[in-house]
Amino acid sequence: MSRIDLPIGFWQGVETIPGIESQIPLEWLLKQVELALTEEEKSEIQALGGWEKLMETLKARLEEQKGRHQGGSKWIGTGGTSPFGAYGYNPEGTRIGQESSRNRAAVKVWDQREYRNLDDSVNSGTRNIKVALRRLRKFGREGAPKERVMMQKWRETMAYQAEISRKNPGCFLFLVDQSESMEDPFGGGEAGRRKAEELATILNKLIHNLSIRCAKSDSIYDYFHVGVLGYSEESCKPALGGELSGRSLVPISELANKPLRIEERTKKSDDGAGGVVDQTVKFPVWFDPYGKGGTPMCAALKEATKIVQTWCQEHPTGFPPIVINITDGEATDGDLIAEARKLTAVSGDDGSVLLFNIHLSSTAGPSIELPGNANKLPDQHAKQLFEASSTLTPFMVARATELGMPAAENSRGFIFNAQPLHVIHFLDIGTRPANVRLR
Amino acid sequence: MKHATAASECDIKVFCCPKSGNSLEEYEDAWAHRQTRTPVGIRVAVADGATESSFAKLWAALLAESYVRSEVDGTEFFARLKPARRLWRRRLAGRPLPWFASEKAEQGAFAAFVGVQIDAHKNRWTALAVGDCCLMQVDDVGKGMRVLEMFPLQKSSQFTMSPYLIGSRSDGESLNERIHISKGSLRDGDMLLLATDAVAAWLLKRHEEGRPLWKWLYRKLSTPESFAAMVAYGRKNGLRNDDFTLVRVIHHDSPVEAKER
Repeated sequence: MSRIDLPIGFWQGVETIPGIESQIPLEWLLKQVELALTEEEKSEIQALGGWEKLMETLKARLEEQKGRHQGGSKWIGTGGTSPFGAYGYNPEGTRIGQESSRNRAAVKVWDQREYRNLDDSVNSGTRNIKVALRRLRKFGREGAPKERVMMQKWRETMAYQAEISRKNPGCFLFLVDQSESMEDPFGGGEAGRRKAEELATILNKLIHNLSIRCAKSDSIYDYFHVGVLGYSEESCKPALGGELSGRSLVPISELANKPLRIEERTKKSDDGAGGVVDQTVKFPVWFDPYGKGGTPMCAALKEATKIVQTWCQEHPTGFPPIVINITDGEATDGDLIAEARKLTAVSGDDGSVLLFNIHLSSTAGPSIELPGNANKLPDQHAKQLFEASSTLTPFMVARATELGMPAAENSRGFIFNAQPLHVIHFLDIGTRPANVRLR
Repeated sequence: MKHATAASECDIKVFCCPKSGNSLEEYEDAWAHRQTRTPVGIRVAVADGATESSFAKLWAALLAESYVRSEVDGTEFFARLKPARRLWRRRLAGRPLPWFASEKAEQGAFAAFVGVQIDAHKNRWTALAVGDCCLMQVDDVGKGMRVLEMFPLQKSSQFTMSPYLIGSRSDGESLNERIHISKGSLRDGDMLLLATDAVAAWLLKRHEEGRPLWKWLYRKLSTPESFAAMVAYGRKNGLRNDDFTLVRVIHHDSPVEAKER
């Protein structure tokens, strides 16, 4: 006889069970900060005024809040230096919540719930960490300098964990060099091929692969928004054409549905019987080769900074944008490193913007992917681009290794004279079969 | 569902829900259970369609159903997936798809799989798996509950975002090196759990941390409310946001059989 006839779980509400609100005990918060630091980093903090003193200050401020609870000027408001400025504090010392009434409700519901027995301690779930990071972000803007250093260390350790979903999409912003020097021969490919052609091929393949990655059955999921800025002569402007002309960021579904044209190309493929046959495949084109004038790369980085600032404001909890600059490396309008620093200083709850550089050089020689230092880079331009590139996150290092790239803990998002197609797989959107060959 | 067989019976309960933020239509796991004649017993299967593949729900369902309806086991089961693959292709044939959907479908769908055959006469089980769907066996002896089997992955650290999976267009590809097989015996009250990757990884992690959920799963997990509570709790405490499928099988010897042991 059936005890139940249907699987349990398909009903409204399973996602939104109230009661387990975010709870971040002070001890846990402080412990996590401590755990996140190396001995060397702790020494740095010591030099800035002392770890113990820093902890005492934080504790003292929380103690002080016990007496005030609501309305304390140091705590509630915008002008203080507290990481907990926007939040209340539970005088019992066990929980910190956004407001006292909600806090009481949470405790009550927790006590009533059957699943309270699942747990025997306060936990450090992803949600809690996110809330903590949001507080720290606020603190980073308003806190005292020495405390800010500590919080920056925390952020580096805890960042880049945001789940990418249609509700909380990722962002790729491509900056493409369209200067006259891009008309010179490409050193890493067949003879007679121009850098501008190589760049167009790379960009079209990247958008193509991103589209395939996000394709789901009949449709395409907007896991990513994508922008392309071209820089040449004296300016930097959106470089997508056709119906997308003038747009700086476009959902991947729109991009996939609106290429400039779809060409048909022939590729060799396995005939299933040990032979090779020519197969006609569709090759969508979004971007054509172009090269004229100087290389206003700094202007491009400035424009990118504005775009990602807006993105981060609109998607504060999302995975930070990834900016991918494809160039032959010769900025003509200022200090590339300084502008790159400003760009990568833009941040959301989940960390700072990442900048990767793809260097298409006329210099012949072996390609270099994700180096950890600049020792083997062939020229000053390459070294400067390496310097401007962000360090890969631990997940990216693991994914790159899985994909056969030579990544290590200190690898940077820099590629010299090589196809960077694997880079779009550095962001996780769910289980990826290991037996699907990447194009 | 209670399956009564010649010498034993099994209580089977299925707990599942889609990834948070997704609709029910987007749930891409599959499960199936069915009584078998040779040997007399039951088969239970769980499959997990890969997010980064198209029409994966269909493929996962075909795998799970194929297994519980099949009479072959071990590597031979996977060698005989041609009809399932043909069905998958037939469902897509003639469907007008935009260029990106068509190209994605060309890659095929992918799924992880675990299936178990319980032999009612011998009180033994045989399991097979490809990928990161898992089977766990826990006994109900004394106050504590012992984990007797974790299969095919034994540690939470072994789960990755890129496992090797079964493809719907991979007729020419041998899976032999990827197939895991295990066997075991069952005693009265033993619990078998078949789970997709996220929930399996979470259960193993809790076990490794010395805070196992076995007893709770055995005794408390029964109602929609208790399941909802577990999912809500899990998602705030280390359970990765993914489709969730957990099939719980509790084995009972028949009264006659129990006396003889």
